Amino acid sequence: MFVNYIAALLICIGIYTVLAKENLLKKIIGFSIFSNGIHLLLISIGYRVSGVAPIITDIKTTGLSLFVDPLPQAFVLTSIVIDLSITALAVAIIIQVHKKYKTISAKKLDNLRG
Amino acid sequence: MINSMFFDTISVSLIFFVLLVFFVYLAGKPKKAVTPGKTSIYACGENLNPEDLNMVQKSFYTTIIDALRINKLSELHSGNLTEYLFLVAAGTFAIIILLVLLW
Amino acid sequence: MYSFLSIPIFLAAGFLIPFIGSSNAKNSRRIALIASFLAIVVSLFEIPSVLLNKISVKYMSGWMAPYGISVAVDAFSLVFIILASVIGFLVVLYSKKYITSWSVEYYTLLMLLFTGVMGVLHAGDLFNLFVFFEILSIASYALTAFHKNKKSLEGAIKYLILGSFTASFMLLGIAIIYGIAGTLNMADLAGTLGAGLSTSTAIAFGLIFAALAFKSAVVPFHYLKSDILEVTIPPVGAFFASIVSATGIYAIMRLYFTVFNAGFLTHHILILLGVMSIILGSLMALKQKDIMRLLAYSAIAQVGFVVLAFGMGAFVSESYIAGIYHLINIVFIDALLFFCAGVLVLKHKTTNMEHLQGVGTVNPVLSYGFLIGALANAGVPLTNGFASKWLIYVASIKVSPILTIITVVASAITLAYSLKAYSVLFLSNAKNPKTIKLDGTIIFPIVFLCIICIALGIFYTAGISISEIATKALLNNKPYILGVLG
Repeated sequence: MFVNYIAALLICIGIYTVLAKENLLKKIIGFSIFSNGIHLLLISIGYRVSGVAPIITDIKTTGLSLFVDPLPQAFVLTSIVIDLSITALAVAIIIQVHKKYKTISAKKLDNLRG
Repeated sequence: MINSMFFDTISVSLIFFVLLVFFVYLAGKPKKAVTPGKTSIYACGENLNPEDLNMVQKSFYTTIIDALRINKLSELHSGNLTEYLFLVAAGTFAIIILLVLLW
Repeated sequence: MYSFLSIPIFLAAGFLIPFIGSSNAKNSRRIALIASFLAIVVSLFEIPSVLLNKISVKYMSGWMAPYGISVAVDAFSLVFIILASVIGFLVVLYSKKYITSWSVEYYTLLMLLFTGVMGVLHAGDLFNLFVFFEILSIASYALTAFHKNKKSLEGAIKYLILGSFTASFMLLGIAIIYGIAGTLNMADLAGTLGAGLSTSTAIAFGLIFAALAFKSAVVPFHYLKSDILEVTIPPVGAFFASIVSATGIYAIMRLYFTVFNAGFLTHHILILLGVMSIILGSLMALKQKDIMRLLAYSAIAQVGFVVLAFGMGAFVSESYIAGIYHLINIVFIDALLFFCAGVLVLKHKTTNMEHLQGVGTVNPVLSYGFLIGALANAGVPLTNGFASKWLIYVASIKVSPILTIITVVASAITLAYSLKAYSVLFLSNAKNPKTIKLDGTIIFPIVFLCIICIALGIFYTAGISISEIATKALLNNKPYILGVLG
């Protein structure tokens, strides 16, 4: 239960960083904090009290109700990979933006309006 | 609603009348020479150039834009990324509240 | 299950193109053409089995339904799959003239974009939906920045930050649903969520709705659609405006009707969002000086009509048929308009209408194509836009006369800006208009789309029948649940 509150705190910090900071790199860091908070929430949903890792080592001696849930773990691994690729693409585009605009502040990028 | 699969009396009659109008147009198309007097714009005795009349188009649209205050609506789309993020987050929040009240 | 093969076909093409195309760049285009043609063939083969059994299911690796990932296609999905494959083929054909350099990278990204779209349309599972939705998004961020000039990079970074922010909302919504129900299979959720905790379910649906509505540009989330359509390449812009919006609407309706089976009162929210989209799209399009932004706001307004039609379905049951029929129509109309305007943008390298005055006057194919598209957009009889808009007007009279007034006035404003665009581009006097020499790869998509627009307008009963079959599959989720869970 305690973990859910930490996850909610991370999500709120992440959303605040994306909304309030002007620097584009800080927005990307905020997005990373936000998605890590969601990953923490997902893994804590899959926890079962006094469960072991969901790998069958010896079929005879392990009972079936003592494993933690493997689906959220798979989901979180997929999501970490997706966030990694988004961060890589974002940093590449920000480097090019800096070359053209000489600034990476979101307030100064307003050529596309209306 | 309508029971037949592809054809209907309305569809058949549409095609028929379109073809009829097309053939009437082809039959009645004159191929005579056009005198210069026929293609100039007549405005009750004045002679107008076509270039003068383009002003009507622009003021038609600017009148509508001023009447409906579209310029103010356009300022909401200012291009600032932080403002867009804030409006999207506020929109999500509003829709969640509406959904919780009405589910 | 044949139509599922389109996902491996596009993915294999996306991985083969960098290998084969690095030696000879023309091979990349040939591989892309073969892949999209095979996708059309494969999705047309699916029609008999879906019409007979109402649903076609495949369990990945043999694991049965709630424990493994399943792929489910019913009649509602199949309409969108056929539309996506046909428009995808036309976009690959049409982009021959636009890509003179960097063709390997372009066709790879385009194949990944098609993979994402096909994956979202085939998904039977929320996990699958999220993963393919992210593939679609990442490919579209990279395609927005394709020109690598100042404006394109700005549009791309804004789109990336806003798009990934809303996609994380979708992940949060899926996490909440997993915490409530313990499963992510759509058919299993439809059975389990029937009488559960309604507040948490509503919050989860609202978060997922935000992400999908950003993709399809429904009004509080429509912000960057016009910007990205201004800076991207015209064929990709045509695909974004038509198919990516339709995919977003498909996912919203699949979750709304089949999985969550939302109650009666929440249709009011859809009506409200639809009306706001119609008003904002039509009014903003009057002011634009840029042809691509004008067509983008026009697409936002048309999507507003579709959402309004789905919202009115709670009061008038024929309104769902009008909604699906209008969605099919706007896919063709928006693709046609973007194709015709894109040729002029390519030739003169600017999207500003003041510089593009009168450049289309001696190009008959483009002129007729844009005229038919503009008339269909406004809802003039003999085109497909009239047939579906008439059904929406009739349904809105039974709901409330105010909606009828708003929709009719919006159609009049649509006529105003469509004819403004047509007259500026094709009827003004230019100093020396050049006749653009058009290739077969540009003429064939434009003529094909014109013929479909007029044919769906004259033979409107065909469109209504297709929409009726799709509506029956959408509204009744019992065959879906029984088909997937066995």
